Amino acid sequence: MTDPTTTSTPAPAAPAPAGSAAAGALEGEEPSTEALEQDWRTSDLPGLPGDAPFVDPGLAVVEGETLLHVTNLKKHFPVLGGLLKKRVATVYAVDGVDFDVRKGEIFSLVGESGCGKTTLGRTVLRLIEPTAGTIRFGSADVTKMKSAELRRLRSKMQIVFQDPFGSLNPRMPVSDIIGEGLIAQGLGDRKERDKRVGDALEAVGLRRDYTRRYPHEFSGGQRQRIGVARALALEPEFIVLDEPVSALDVSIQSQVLNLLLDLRKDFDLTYLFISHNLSVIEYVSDRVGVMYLGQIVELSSSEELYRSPRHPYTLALLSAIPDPDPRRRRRRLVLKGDVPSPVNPPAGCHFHTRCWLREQLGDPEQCVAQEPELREIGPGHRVKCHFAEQVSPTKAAEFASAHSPVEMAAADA
Amino acid sequence: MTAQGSVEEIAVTIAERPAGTPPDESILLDVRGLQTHFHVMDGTVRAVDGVNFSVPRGGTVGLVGESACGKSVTALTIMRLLDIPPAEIVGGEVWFDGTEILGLPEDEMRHLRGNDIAMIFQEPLTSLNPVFTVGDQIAEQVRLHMKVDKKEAIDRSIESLRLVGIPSPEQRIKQYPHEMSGGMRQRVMIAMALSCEPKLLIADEPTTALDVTIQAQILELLKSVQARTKSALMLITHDLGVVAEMVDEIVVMYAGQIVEQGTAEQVLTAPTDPYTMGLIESLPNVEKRGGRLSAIKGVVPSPFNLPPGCRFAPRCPYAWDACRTTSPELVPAGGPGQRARCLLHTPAGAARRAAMLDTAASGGATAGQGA
Amino acid sequence: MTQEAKPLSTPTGSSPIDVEADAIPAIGMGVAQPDEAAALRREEAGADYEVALESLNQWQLAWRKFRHHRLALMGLGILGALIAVAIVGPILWPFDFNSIPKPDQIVYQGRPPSLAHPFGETGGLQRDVLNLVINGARTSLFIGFSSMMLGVLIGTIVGSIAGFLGGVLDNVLMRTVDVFLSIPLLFLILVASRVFGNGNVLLIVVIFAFFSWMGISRLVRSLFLSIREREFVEAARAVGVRDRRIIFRHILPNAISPIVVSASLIVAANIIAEAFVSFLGFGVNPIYPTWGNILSNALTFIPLGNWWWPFFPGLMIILTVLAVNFVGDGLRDALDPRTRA
Repeated sequence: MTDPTTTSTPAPAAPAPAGSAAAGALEGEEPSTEALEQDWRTSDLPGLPGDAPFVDPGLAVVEGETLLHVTNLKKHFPVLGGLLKKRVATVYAVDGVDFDVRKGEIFSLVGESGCGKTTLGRTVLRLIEPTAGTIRFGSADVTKMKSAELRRLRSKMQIVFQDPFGSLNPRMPVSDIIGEGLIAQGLGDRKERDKRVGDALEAVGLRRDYTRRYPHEFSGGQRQRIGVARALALEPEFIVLDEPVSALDVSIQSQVLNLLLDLRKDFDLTYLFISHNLSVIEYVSDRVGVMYLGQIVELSSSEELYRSPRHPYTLALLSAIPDPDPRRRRRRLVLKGDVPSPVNPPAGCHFHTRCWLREQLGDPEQCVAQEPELREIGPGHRVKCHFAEQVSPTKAAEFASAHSPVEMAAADA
Repeated sequence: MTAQGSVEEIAVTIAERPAGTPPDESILLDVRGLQTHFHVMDGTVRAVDGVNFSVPRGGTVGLVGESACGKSVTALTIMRLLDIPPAEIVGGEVWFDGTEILGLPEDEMRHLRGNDIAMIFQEPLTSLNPVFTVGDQIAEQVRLHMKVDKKEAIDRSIESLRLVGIPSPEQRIKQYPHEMSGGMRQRVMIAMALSCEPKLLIADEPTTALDVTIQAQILELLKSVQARTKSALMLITHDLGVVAEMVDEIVVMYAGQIVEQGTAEQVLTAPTDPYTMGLIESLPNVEKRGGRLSAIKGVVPSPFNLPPGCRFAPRCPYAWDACRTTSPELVPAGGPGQRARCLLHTPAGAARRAAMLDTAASGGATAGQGA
Repeated sequence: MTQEAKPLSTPTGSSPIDVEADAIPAIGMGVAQPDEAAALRREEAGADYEVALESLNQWQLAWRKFRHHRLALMGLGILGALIAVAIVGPILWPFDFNSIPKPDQIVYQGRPPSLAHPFGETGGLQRDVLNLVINGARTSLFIGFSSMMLGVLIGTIVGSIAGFLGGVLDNVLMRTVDVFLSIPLLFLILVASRVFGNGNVLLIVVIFAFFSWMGISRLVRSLFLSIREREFVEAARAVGVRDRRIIFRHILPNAISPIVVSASLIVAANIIAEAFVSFLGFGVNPIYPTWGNILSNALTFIPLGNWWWPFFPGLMIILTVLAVNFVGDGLRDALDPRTRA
């Protein structure tokens, strides 16, 4: 923790020297071997001395019992139009997704708006009916469940929502909000329910005697805690966290993240963590799936994904994160254009319209003609790209220095 | 602008300025003792409570803070875009380009807005009129502020769209706002704001509603356009990453007051106010994996019932008795020109600070939260 | 460090935050001694030193806002007084339709207001106008309010079914509403009053209700459609809550404010409609006074200058409708969650 690049450790109240001297020494002067070991992002892209190793053999793949097993999951929404409400188009919100979540891990889905991550989270719980595919939870097939079975399953699989204001019924006191699941599941009598509601409140850091209060009396962070308590009251094994901190202020975000990580330990929980915030994902996740236009384009352990991304989109996504350390100014890989509409995803590889690697490789036909597989290129590391082996920070750096960001932004995808 | 240059500028900008006299020629915007209150049924909210800062010509300043800290109200007060009532500008001066603008008659102020000061907002869709094409809207803006004919106004609109990196602007000007994506619309807003070559551009959370790859595009665009036009930039955001990339000087606000100001490097790498420290430390990153994030405890105080003494004291890990009774001033702290609103940096807190530095030095680099 | 448990909200409710005491950490709050992590969590949550504003449920909050609406408060006062008169008045001073005066006492001209008869007397049977107005209030207000309640009930049921279930049923119900709305209403009310009504008050109520549910059903349907998609409904589904509870505990309580507001407008409309129908002689059996048939009877006497006879019942109708509209307006503001008192 003595590495001066860590922004995380400003000395307390220290009238530290402005740090400019230290900052100057940060980059470029370090031995190249060490730079190799470094996270690729800490270096200025063009200055990176060499490529990160293709697959780090030292990285153990997280092993464990599979809790959630999702195969070829699809959710297509019809777009209805005309007088007769006929289907005029289809939104391919989730379009063929496979992944496993292992017991006790935090599996994250990251992607930009419209990539289908939220729909996927809801579909896994069958809050949205899937169009195709299977979801297995433990030994049960969730997709085949009847409504009574599904209701019972709800006590095992829970969800926490993004919006702390919209997800709590403004007309209900906290006791009903949290206790409702217990009533629905027929768990316990009134006294036991009250106790469990109190326990859940205490577990999320609120006071037992808050039960008679209404949601509008709480701040955003406290409401989010109530949402967590609601999920917790049923004593689930698995919780989908749908952007749980995105609507919160920075200082409150970290409180809620701490809470979620504590609860995982205390109650042996497994999380499916959905977010667009790459720094949060990196901090919490064991494994990460990157989504683009309804599909997972890269899936790997969090460390490996952030250290040596293998999909051109992942690399661009990581390069776009603004860095709160002003001493680390780096050249950015800017993608051209906007995300295409999920109504009409591009043929072949969905990403080919914006892909920098394809441009660098001289626009190979394969990207348009053939949809790539999500194939394994290393232990536990899967990428949906024909040319994943060619993705490297060096290539990205070459591309970034050859194309000015504004020019890129101006290009039509 | 070099880091060294901006340090000196900061030193100049926050030097004491007598009321009623224009600031130094190098200062474009000078905000002094600004106070904006809102009168609502439950009482009075002191949304902006004595804010002082300035923006040098061509300089970049970031206003940082969490929701309801007063950063947006500060901008709206400068633009005089608040509804009065419920808002009331209780006190202070805003000097822009050598003129005090809080006292300007409304028609002169209208001329100033758009012409010399332009503002872009978080949600571009609500700030664009849905029934006119974007070309009409930019051309109207141009014609309002510059004496040009319709043809020239349209040419200028196309030019400004090209400047912000909108492909085939000749076609795009015929489109309506809803036909564009969020990133495109924000670019149109920037184009509109820049079409009259303003001396100051105020951007209020310009990328908060956008995806991260689109945010990257817009930030790069703002940077390059700002460098080209030499406009000064006042950026309002809650995102420390965005300010770090965009600005030279940072003003941190909490509960209506400035709690820390200095260069971006000073504030982000060597913060001196406990609130700023807490904010930076609470950011998740990979080095903190496996451990707890050091969160700022508690919640922002109710604006109707601000704590006596330091407003951050109830949440501050370093607070002691004096903090709960004495309202701290913004005093020099840390590097040259840097200031913090904390008793630790007054003579009263000197002993405590020394003790804390000792602990920090002996206890390793991890910032000790337990004071 | 104090060991006292702090009350959640101060008894007066006026100074909810006591910072000095609030800053003291978690221990001794009357809860079982938490372990270290839990204490940290509580401290971060601000549970122990942040005290929210007074604890008010939605109706208390609404009342706080309603109180600041002067016209609405006035309307509520007038309406309250009218309802009290309508309930108590006829008991204290009933209308006696048997008290027909002897033929020689029947006069053609009415008598203007006097101390004994502050609203004057009618021509013909020489009835006291105040007595008529008081007894008429009972029938008019009863018809206005009960037809509203019945109409809102029908509308809410239809709208809920259409909005919650959707699909074919939704289509059928909403087309039915369209058909009802396209019928020339007044004509049908007149025919229905004549054919089924026979001047029976309850039947009149049913007929009015039958023609005042469509707006509500459309409103309720659209409310259901939007509230059904809200996250808290999804959250309820996610913990396994059944449809019935979702409708009655989640959707309806959140739909209640707009329903209440438009219901108040239906009251006003139906009071006017009753007056109108009675005026045309198709309403309540004319042996019972209502504001409408008092007006109707007064018609031929207006040229004789008996202004007091139509004036007072007319004034009551205007007052009631205004009061109801003011209250509706106040409710709209008070129940709007976007504004906070």
